Amino acid sequence: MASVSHTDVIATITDQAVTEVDATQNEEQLEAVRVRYLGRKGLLTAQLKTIGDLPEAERRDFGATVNAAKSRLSRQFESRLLALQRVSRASALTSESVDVTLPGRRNDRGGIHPVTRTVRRINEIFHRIGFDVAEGPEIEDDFHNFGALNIPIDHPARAMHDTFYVDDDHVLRTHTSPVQIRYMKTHKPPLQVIAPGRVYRCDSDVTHTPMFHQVEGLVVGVDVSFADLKGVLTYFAQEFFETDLPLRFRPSYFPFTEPSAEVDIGCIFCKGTGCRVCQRTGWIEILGCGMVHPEVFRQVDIDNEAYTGYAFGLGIERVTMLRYGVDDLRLFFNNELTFLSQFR
Amino acid sequence: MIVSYQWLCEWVSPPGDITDLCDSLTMAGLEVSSTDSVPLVSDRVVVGEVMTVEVLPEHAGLHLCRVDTGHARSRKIVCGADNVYAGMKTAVALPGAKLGKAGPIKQRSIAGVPSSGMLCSSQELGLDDNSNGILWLDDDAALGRSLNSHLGLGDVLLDIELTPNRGDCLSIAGIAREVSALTGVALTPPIVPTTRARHRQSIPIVLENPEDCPRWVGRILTELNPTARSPDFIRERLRRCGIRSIGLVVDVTNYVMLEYGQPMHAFRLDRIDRGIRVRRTQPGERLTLLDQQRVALATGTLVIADETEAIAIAGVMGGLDTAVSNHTQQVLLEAAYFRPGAIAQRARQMGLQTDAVYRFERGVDPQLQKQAISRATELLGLFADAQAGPVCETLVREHLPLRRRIRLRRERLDRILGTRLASRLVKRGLESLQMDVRVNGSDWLVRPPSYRLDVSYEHDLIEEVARVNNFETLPTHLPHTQALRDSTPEKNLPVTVLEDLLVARGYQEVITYSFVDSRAQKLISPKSTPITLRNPIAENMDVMRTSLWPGLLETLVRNLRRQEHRIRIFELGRVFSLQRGKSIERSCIGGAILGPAFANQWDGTRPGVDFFDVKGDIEALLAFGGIHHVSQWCSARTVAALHPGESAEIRLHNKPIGLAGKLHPDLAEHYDLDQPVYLFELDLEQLRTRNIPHYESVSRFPTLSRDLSVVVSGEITASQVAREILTAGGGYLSRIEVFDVYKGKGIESTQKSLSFALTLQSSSRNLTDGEIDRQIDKIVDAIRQNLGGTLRS
Repeated sequence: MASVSHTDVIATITDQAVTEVDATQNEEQLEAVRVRYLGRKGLLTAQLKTIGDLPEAERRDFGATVNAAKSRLSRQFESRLLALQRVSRASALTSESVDVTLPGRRNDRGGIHPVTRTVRRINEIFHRIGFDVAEGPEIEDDFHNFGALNIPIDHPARAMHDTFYVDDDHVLRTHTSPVQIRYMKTHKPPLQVIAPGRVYRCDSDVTHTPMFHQVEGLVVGVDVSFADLKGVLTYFAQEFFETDLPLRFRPSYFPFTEPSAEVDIGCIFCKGTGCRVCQRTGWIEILGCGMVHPEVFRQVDIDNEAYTGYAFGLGIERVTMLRYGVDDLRLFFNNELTFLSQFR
Repeated sequence: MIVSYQWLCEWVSPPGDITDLCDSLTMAGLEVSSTDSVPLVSDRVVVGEVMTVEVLPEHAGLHLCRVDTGHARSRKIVCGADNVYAGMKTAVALPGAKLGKAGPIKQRSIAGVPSSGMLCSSQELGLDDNSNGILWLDDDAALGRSLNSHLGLGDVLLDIELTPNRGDCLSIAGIAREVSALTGVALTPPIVPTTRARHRQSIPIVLENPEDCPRWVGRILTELNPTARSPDFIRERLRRCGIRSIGLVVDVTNYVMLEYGQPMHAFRLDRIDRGIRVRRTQPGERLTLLDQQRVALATGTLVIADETEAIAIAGVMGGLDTAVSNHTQQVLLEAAYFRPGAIAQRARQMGLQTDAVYRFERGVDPQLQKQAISRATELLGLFADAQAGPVCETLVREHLPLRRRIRLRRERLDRILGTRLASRLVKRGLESLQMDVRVNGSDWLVRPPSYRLDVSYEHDLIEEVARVNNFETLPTHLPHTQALRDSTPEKNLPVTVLEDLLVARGYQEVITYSFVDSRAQKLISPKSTPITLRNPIAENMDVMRTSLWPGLLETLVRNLRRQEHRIRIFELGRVFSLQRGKSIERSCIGGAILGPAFANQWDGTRPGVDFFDVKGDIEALLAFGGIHHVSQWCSARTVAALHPGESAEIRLHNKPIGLAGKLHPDLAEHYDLDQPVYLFELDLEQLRTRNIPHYESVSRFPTLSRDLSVVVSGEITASQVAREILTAGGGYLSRIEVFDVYKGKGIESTQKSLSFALTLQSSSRNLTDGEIDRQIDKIVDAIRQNLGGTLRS
């Protein structure tokens, strides 16, 4: 009956092991139990080693019994392990927590200047309707800044420009219009181009800074008309201000365009009923424009009978102020971060 | 230009109210920028006549006046003004009248004498900022009439911003013509009678330079009443237009100028030697002007001279010697036409901007002179009993501006306006502007009136047609897009990408003035030659910047004062320099950083910025163009603005493309900056091309990594070692990174240890450890032989 007693021993050991497994409180204890019973020197393993003491006939049954006990125990370990892991993860989930209201690790973002922001928007609007972008020098010669634009030396229009002089023949450009001349000298019509950039006038007070930005526009083609000019500026103003505001074209005078016009938009603040910004007129002037003067075409060797064209010039700070409600031009060039950071 | 609405209404009666008038002028290109009303005074201020003046003996300076204000009973008024005299007409504030902010005038006792009212000065009435004594009104002013109605107070003044081409509108007549054209209301100009000559005194007029002065009209007036004064309406209208009343003769010339647009001048006849000569100056001529300043006349200046010397600068200002005074009894009136260009340049050179210059340089009607002389003669006859001589005129007709017919082509008109205006609208529009229009087939032949010097070509007529028909009625064609070609090649890196990169890395863009203080610039880039402005707007904005750094440093300082403590700014703009007498403009991108390297965080403090913060930002910029790995960083010890030990020149293919480093301590002190500042500036054009990617197949074989630490002498740079590794490392070396730099314990003090992580890979097979070991040996040999370095043990 030795075999019976062997079997009993195994059952006893196994039951004991199961009890111990179930009593474990963490993975370490569980591992210790596993080593005690199933390790190389473990109690159950030791039982298997006694198999040699048994008679041949009993060995087979005994082996099966031990293996069954081992696999039972293994399953028990597995399930206990899972249970313990579940418990420990659950407790980790309750103990490991962050204050989600603390700020994230930051690398503060900077921002572009509001003038650049407007230039980008203007470029984008005109790019959509097929305009190229050009640049020109900021120190210009007299010819490009004045002469070629039909502003001879004695012309009273020069007095309107408050020019910065570099030498007898060079000035800081007073407008972006000289880019028209340079572009027409290097490109053949038909052409559509805008030229944003810095311009300079020797004037400084509440509403003037000695440097500011303009964007020039030029379109030359076989049948470019005043109606097209009105259309393109209407499109631009409505896209820029994102509202179907009215435009008003008033006759004006620029030596390099004829007919010339100044363009008002319906006041975006009071919708035309009259307020402080529009000086109670309901209208705000934003740009000057006109049909390219035949004399300008002559200066750049474009056949002024074959081609017609229009040009316009827009003050960038002006529309930036209107768009974002800035009430002091000088803020743009003080570069205080408290101001600039509002445009991020 | 200021236009009195009352005065304008004498010439034309515009329909509708003043707002309608302003709108139609504005929409015709004569922008009414503002309107202002001439304030009314109390209705209880009336015209009165001082009957008697009695000095109050015990009260110095006080007079007791008996004043007739048109009532049956005269009133007694005490007055302190010393210009009061018996027979004087003046403004009387009756009891109850309110003047300015003071309480109403009361019947009260002054110096023990009952006074029922007040004799008023123009200052007290708010008509003027200062005044001498009480208002002196016309002798024929109606007694008891309210001052408001006598002086036409309550008038509205329109401030019209005239464009420089519209010299013809610089007068009541000119504005009235426009109003008539725009509204269709007929002109009603005052009728000026021809004053017949009462004597034969005339003066010879020689025009030596008819190209500049083709017409000069003069007239001698004699027997002017020396006690005559300008009537109230002239004084009042001059005042409203901002012109001071000086004396009858001068006032009349100014009045005629305001009315017709013809600047005039009056000379004292007895000071003119024999005749008038309009000529250019000889070298060395001088003239004392009306405003007392004695000027040297530039040779060639057009002057009015007599047979001895210059007596006026033509079209600019008269001389003091021939100036009329209140006692002048004989004058020579001048009305001339000067070529606009002949006046503008001289006047600007001399800094003289007079009302006459303003008109002459914009073009005065060459047919206006006799009319102006007639009007002035009439007024001086009326108010000073002047006796006129014959009109003297010298005219060189061929030098008058040509008024030929201009052809206006139907096809051209339609093409420019983008519409077809009815022929009747075209003709009627031009005719309303007093143009003579002849239909010629489908075209028109048009002769503009003499005063429209700005209308000379077909496109001028097109503008006029569009203008009188109102731009608002012309069609609007919304854009139809034309495909743009070649405008944005892929290899061109948009600037916005670079800006946005810096923005993402914490930089704020700034825009600073292109002109800077020459002293600051000298400190920052002592070797550059800046372009100097001839007329800077301020002393500290006198040169064009040769670097973005002066502006960036100013901006740093300004923001530090505003308590910013972590600043990263960049600017994108031109810098300017003079090279062989030519100005060179270069677009640059530059930045400045200061303060902690990272934003403040709750889990620890962050170190302040150092060289490698700014270098990392620059490398990121360079990486966009794919030039990060081909650019070289070279120690640059001679950049004046930078710390010699922490400054680098960035080169691309051995050409410098930028600088970076720490602000030199001397400059930091100059700007009062007590923490490290790092700066950079790169040539924008070099960053603006990018590679167009070309796919290469990816190796499927595993990569192997090896770390390599070498000890080298302290002055050997990381890039020197890296170059040796690359050269000796063979084709399998796919990546190399520095991961440690060590100085200190275990290493000799003159040496340092550099550690590199190498990655090797073949595209065609598995590499063996043996192969790699041999390659590493080659690398170590190369470092030993070329740099004297050793493998760190």
